[in-house]
Amino acid sequence: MDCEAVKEKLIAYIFGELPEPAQREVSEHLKACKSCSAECKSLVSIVNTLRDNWISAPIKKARHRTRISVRRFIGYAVAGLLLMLAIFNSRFYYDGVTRSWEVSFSMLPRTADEQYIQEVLDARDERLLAVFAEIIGQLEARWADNFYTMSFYLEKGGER
Amino acid sequence: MREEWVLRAQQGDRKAFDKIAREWYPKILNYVYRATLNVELATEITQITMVQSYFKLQQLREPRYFATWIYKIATNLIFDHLRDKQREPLALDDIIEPSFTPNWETKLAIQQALNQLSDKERTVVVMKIYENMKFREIAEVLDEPESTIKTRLYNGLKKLKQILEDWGMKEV
Repeated sequence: MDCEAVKEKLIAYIFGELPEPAQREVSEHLKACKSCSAECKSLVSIVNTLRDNWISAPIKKARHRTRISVRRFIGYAVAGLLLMLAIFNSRFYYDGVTRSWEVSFSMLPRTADEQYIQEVLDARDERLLAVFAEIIGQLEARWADNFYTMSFYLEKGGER
Repeated sequence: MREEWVLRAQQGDRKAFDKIAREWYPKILNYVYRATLNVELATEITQITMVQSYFKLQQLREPRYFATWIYKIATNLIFDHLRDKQREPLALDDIIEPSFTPNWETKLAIQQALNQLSDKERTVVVMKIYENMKFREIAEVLDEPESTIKTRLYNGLKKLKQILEDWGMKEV
């Protein structure tokens, strides 16, 4: 294969797209011919420069709109509502010894008795607490389970 | 490219075409951008390519030739747009923002050098170097003999090398 024939095939050769006998023949010629070898190196060099420096379209990434299904939206809404309830129905409790954060999920307003007990607890009136403790103690004997929560509050208040 | 998606799209499966479009839109956009070096034009041609590929999909006989087929649509559109267009220097907006890319000097030089080639030379260079297409595929897309494609690539590469060397780039 002479230089002219090699130069015609060189471009296909560097991309490995020559059929096998021709690929080998060009390869052998390049080993022997300095001129064709230099030409080949020159082409490979520019191809590598182009490939090493990819030009890409400066694409602005599209903002993906988040699709939320109706079911998931309802789920989020309910969770949000519960969280709001928890925040607005919660109360931080600290009596000097015990710290607690009480959360009520009840939407119902407190009864007058409950409010009164709460006021006593808040005021930390020792005398009234003692009275309550006594009453609760008596009631506990009969309805221990029903008043468990109430007595728990009173005991906490009484510890102070 | 999954042939089954093309087949399903040909049978009217809208989701299958969405999948194809999602895969091919960035590829075609990059290809057209490299061939035209114009962001607005590249975006416009890419969108028309996607629209045409959707409406002409039934005309594609062999799903495995989808890649060649869609490149052909894009290439025809590129030539349609560039045919009567006078070569203009690249607008500032079309040039890659140097600060955001490594080796920005080289990339900028290559972009400007590509702009000096004829439309056909640049298209062949882009198809071969960046899109990694076979000579046979490029010949199919451009409807020209393989020998013409090879000559055009050879000339294009020689020109690019000369331009870059003239601008002082070493080891090109």
